[in-house]
Amino acid sequence: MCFSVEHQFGLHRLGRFSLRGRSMDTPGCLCYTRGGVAPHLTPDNLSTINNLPQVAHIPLPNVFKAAESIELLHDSGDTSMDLSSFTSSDFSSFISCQDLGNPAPSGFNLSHSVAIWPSCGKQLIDPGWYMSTLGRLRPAGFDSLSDGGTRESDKRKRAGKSVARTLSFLDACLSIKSHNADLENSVIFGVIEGGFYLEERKTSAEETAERPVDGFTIDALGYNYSDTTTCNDDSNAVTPTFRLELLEAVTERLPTHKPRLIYGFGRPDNVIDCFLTGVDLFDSSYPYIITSQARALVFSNTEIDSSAPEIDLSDPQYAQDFTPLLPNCRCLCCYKHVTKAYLHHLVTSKELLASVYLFAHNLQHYFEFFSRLRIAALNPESLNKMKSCISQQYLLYLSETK
Amino acid sequence: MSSPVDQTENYTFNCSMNSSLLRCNLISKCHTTRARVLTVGLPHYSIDTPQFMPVGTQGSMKGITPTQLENIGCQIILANTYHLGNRPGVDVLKAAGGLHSFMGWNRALLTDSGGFQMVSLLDLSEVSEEGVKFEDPHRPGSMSLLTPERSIAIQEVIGADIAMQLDDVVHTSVTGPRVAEAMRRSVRWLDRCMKSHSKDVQQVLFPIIQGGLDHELRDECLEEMIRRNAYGYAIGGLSGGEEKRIFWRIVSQCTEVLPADKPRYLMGVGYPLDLVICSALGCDMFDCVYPTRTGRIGTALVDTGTLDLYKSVYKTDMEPIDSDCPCMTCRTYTRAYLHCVQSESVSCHLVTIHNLTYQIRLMERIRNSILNNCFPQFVQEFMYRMFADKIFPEWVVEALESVGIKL
Repeated sequence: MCFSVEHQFGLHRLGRFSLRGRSMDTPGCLCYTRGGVAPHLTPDNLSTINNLPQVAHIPLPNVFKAAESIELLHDSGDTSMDLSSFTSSDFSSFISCQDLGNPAPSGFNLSHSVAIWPSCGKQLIDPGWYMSTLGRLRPAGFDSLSDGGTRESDKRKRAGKSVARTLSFLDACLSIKSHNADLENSVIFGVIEGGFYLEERKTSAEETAERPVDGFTIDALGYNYSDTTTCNDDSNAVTPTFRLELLEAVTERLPTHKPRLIYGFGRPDNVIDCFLTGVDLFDSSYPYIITSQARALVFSNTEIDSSAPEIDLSDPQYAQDFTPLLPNCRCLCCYKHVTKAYLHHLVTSKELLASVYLFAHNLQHYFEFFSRLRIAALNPESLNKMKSCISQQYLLYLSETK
Repeated sequence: MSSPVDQTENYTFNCSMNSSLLRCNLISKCHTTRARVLTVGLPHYSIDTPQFMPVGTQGSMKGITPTQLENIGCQIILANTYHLGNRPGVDVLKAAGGLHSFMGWNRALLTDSGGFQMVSLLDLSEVSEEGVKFEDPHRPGSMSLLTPERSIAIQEVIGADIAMQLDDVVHTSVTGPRVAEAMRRSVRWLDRCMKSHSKDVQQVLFPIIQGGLDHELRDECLEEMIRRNAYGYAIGGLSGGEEKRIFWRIVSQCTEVLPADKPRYLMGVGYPLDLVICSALGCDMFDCVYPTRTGRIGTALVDTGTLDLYKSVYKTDMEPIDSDCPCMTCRTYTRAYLHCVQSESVSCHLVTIHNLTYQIRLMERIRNSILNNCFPQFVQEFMYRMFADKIFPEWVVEALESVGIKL
């Protein structure tokens, strides 16, 4: 069992997720990686981050080259090599088939295969190829192959296909897994699809729950980090509320004792909403995407003040602002008194160091947020307070930036 | 009989020199070559020479934090006045209290004058007696003027420990009267720089010896500039792709004449081979973009040359870049892994860290061998490793022979 519930409060709960000797408390996020390591941060810099999750989230597209090398090594006789040893990683690894940090274009999945986008260009993969690659990489956990190519504007038929294909992929993956000794000790998550249609989501949840999976990944419901709401075929505006309705319809159909991971809901206010709807695990591509936009997370976990929860360091207002991103932050950037003025200079000069500093800060702040959330969740009052604090900051911020 | 090698000598200075700005001590001299180990005490840090200065052009070492630089053993870095003068600009640097404080680097800093960048980077630049006229890339259509006085003023605001004079530098391929004109103008500009350089700033000014590839012009320049009695001297106008057999002769000419009690900075040099040879010729300080620039494209520096990690031959190479290297990259990752992660920014940082460690460690190895009186041996072993077939370039043989090392 990779998961245990520590406290169940209605829909939401505190738990503990363990994969191959590495544990983390939930609600929590997996550590987003690129090429098997944290983006931008060399090991010495990464080690300065507090509350670093011990489970790495490894998108298959960005370890494609590594997979090739491992295959070559296996062919030449070194069969002990797996992804963790190849990347000299201390983390346990969880592999997904798409890269949330590099959202893939949609419309390329077929009935028996899924398009992924490594740096060498589009690859169509089927369960056979996927599972044999995973057999070489030997991750601690992985998502079943899934068709997550549904957009808000897609028709119901497309959503239905995503459910049917994903279930068929799941059955194939489960079958292959049961015959592959290399994956004996790996956990498999079933992936819930269905686009933005209630009935399809319900079907996906119910059917997936019947399979012998170790956990559930709720896919293709998230924002891809834009807040535009569009109508689906049923003329339901895909509002934040509607997404949560769909999410609840899913989580209430999933067994309580198995973990739920969600993709595409990384913004802190969304995280809290999903947590309250029964989600345990999140991906951490959000701080990565924020960093690539030269933004820093500066929201407060406890107080609402007039300042924005996120700031854009390319804004000239910071050119002579010699204050750190956050006054009491212990990240390697703030702790060393790196100022907004200097970050602004690095960003406008397109210096690599900008991403190193910003990402270190954003990760530290993000993981700190999860740590505070876990504490606040211990009682309803503090949880409500934190929820209200964070959602208000973002509400103000989003209304201003529109 | 020869005195002990590790005898510390304090050279006496001209009484107008302020030893709180630069304090140069001889720690050891090679008995065969002109190599020597100095400590150069600067306002922010004391550096050991021969020393390599990584280049942090825009006030940042590409992707490497000051803490990481310190951990590598870096003592002094170079920043470019031209770039910093544009962005973030003098106002921001002044408000920040100088570049040290702005970028969070607490050790030594050296700035160049900005002149070279202007001439080499800008489409429209024109040198006159006044200064360098250039079309400001941020204000197209209007010409600005960088004078010696203005360059010094900017460098004072940046606040590096060592500032460079504005020099009139010509490319090594230029011949004819322009070379002499540029050298003599550089002397006149040196005087203007020294005059306008504030006595209140914790900063020393280095002249730059010019004269192209002409020995007579170099002699003239050396005589003039030495007479100005500076804290240290730079040898400029080289490292522009000139023939190595002329290059080393000019360097040697300069180191023969430049005062022994002051540091000699050979600008724009260089590759590991150049560092070893020019240390033997008596140079103390070096700078080059090579380790950082080449690190970002996956080329790793080793004693035998370079490894191009992005080539497919490294797909399954499970060795570290260099099993003797103590850097974090070599202690943690394999060549195969670095090959696979090449599209990520982390790979740039990892190879850069290795390359900087390599260069800085190379200088440490040079210093240690001088201190242990086995520098000539070190040079020979280094050359045998780099040229495994024992076919040494002619210039290498000649240069080393000129200081008593026979390969």
